[in-house]
Amino acid sequence: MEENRHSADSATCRPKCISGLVPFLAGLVPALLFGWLVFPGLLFSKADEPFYFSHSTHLTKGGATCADCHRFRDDGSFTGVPQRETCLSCHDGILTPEPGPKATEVETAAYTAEKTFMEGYVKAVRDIPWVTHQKQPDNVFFSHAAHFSKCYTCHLTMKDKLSLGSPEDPQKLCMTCHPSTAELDKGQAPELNILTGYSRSTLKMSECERCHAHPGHFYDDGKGRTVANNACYTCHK
Amino acid sequence: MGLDRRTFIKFAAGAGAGVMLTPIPWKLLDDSAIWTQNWPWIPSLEDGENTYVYAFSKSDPSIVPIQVRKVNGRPVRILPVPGHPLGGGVSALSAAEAQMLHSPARLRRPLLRGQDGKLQEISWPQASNVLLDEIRKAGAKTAFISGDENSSVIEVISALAGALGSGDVYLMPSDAQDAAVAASLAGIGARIGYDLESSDHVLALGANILENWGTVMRNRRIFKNARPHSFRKAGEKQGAGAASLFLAYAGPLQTNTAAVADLWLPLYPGTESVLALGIAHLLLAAGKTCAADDFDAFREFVAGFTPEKTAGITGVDAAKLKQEVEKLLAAKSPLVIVGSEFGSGAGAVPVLAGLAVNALLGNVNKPGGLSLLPKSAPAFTEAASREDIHKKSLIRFLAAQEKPALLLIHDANPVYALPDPRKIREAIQAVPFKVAFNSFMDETAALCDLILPADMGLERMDDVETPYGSGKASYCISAPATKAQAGVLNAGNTLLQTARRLDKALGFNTYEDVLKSKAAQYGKVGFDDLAAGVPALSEEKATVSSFSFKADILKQAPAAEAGGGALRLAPYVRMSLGTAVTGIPPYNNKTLRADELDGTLMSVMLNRATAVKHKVAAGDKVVLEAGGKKITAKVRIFEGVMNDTAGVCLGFGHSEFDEFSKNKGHNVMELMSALPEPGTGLDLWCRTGVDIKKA
Repeated sequence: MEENRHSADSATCRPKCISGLVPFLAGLVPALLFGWLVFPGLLFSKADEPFYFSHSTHLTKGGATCADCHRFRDDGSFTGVPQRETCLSCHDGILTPEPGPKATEVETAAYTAEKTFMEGYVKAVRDIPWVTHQKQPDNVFFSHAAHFSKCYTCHLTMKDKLSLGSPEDPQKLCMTCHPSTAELDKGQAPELNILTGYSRSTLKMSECERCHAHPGHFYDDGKGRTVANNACYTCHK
Repeated sequence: MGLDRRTFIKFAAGAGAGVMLTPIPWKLLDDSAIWTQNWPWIPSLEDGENTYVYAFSKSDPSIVPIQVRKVNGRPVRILPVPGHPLGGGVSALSAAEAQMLHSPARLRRPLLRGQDGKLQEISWPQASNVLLDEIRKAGAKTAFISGDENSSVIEVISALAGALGSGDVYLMPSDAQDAAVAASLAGIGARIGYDLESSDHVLALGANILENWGTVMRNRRIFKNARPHSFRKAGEKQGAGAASLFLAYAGPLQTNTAAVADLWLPLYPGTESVLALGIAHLLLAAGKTCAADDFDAFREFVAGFTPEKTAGITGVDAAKLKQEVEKLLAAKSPLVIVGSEFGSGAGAVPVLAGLAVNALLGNVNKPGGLSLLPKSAPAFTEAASREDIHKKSLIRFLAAQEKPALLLIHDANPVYALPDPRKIREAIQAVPFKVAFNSFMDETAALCDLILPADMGLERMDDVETPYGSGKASYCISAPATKAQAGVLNAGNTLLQTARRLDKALGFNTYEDVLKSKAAQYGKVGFDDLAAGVPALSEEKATVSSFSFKADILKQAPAAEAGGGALRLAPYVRMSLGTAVTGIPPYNNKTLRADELDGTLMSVMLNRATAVKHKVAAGDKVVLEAGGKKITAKVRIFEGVMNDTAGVCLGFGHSEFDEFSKNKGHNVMELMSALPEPGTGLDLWCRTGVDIKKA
């Protein structure tokens, strides 16, 4: 009797359990879909650049290198987001041919962009209000010069461990923190977080700590300092 | 399966678990933390369009051409104007211009001293009426002091004084005043200029040309361009390009100029004129001559200044002096610049001695030599020329028994900047009504009965006419970089308006009209271009029909010794610490080293031999005493100080301004007393002797 009752209970339990899972899954699955697929889109808004700009075009068709536009002074300090004068060193006029009827979307966009640049910014003597992909918060101090010199000091001699490129070809070191040009061209418009106002590509502190809090960086450099100081005041002045 | 309580809980649990497995809670938590860093009350950088305006830093006495970078119309950064004939870089003081607009010490409302002796805010119409009434009452007994020798406001002031029948217009003492008086005594009738650009050998006697003498940023640019440097390759003694300028400096301290000079000749403070006469002796011995009215008298007088005698007075090694003179003789375009070590108080005799040396070198009006620049005519017929205003000693005016009925002080802080501030304070306090036209609450403004807040250099249109030290006559306009803050007015406009209300219209409605009239004198460059930053330069040189060495006046130079005391006082200027009218710009406090200011205790620099001789050691708290006046300081051992000399920094000891300037050391002027310089009408305070003892 006991046995029979048990088998009867098992028989009725399976559909009951399944029917118990349905409402749970009905809540779980949409929440997962919303959280992974919809929520990121809601959190970020797109900020349009003043005109179309393609990193890839400049690097491939234009034959430019990163350092042609993103310049550093002799002391290693960064000169800031490129402005008119930098562009004018190549674009002394509209370089893209006027698009014909068979022109591709990219060709038309390039021509329109150059026209806008010449007329709206060069002739009008206005700075280009670029929307930057990576702009650190006001409370963070960042020195390119310090990173170039300090990181290379060791990593150039660590070919078998971790290479950050070389001073002659610094692109690899740039890409350690900056998005690749392919990534930048994928989404032309930087995406801004509607809550914080920072762009999606803005480095989080955890990214900084990949190096600054790396145990391998804690050893003394012989002058009583760690090689990548992780003290608060290093970045937060 | 209906929607019962149990089903709903299962659904909610599923949704909750699902959410927890997505970035939603974690991302929101993280972003919320970042969001809290951006509370509206936390100051943050304002983004916006960048625009640039060409202007001048009027706070820096060396008058620095600057580009003001503005974001959304707000000045945020001071940049250099590369290649500008008067500049090429930014100084520590000019770099603070944008920040000083918001200084806590800025005057923002007119203030009137009430019956209770306290200053009370009043409106501008009320302030204008009070000023008008006081000028009406004082009439010809109105006196004026200005600290701005480079702009046309001094002409407005002079014209107003002329219309009132007053001749009492004074400029604060400066190197320009010493040079103007020396030029007048020598019978030159022109402004003295220095063609540093083309010189291959510069000898600066006292003149700290890379810190506070003349057009400092221009001097630095010329020095930099003449000394190309790059990374040295192995085996090379020097990098790319050879130096085209040899710089020698003679002064009691290893200043910024001495530190980079090819040759530093340490000398006792205030003995530059003697050194110049010693150089003249060697030049005459080398056969140099000059067509001067009193050449024979000068040669006879200078014959006594042998290198050994010169060395005895100045402390400069005789052999080194001879070597330097040989280099001067060998140079193609030598130039000797003589000036005060700290911007004032050296008198006209050193400049006269410098004129004599340059005349003997035969470099007057030659490329790379001493230039005689034409004087410009004032815009007002009633106004005296700047040279004539320079001839009058402010110190003697303040020391006189008879006081004016009204004293109007513009952009000047005599109570802090003149020697023996206690006496100056008493003299100004004795004037029945005092008016200050200032941008900041300084020591002089605090004594005044009426304080009129003036706009700052970046807020007004103003001009710059051939600043002292330039090699060419020039005229530039400084455009306003931003709108003036509410409550402040332009001094030029206010004085012109006051003259109109007094029925003594001066011929111009606005200060801008005055500048347009001045610009017309320079013809070649239109007013609009001038206002856009284009400088008007003149290659014209003044010709001199007669020249005198003034041997009778130069004879006083060797007589002047340090006025008692075991040590000679060598004050020095650090432009980052501001001026008497700006106080210490807040962020420039960062440039103060711990060994320069320890808490509120300033340092006195001695070399080790001097310290041992006077039984003091590094870190000792000591008292410096001169004529019963004392200051305390902490001993700092520095081998860049002449023997038996105490180096002390000017710029400390403010009792007004703000927390960034107050309660920091002492004003070294407290130790100094002005002595009349016979024959020149000026005073000097560069030869102060002090005693030192442990506190």
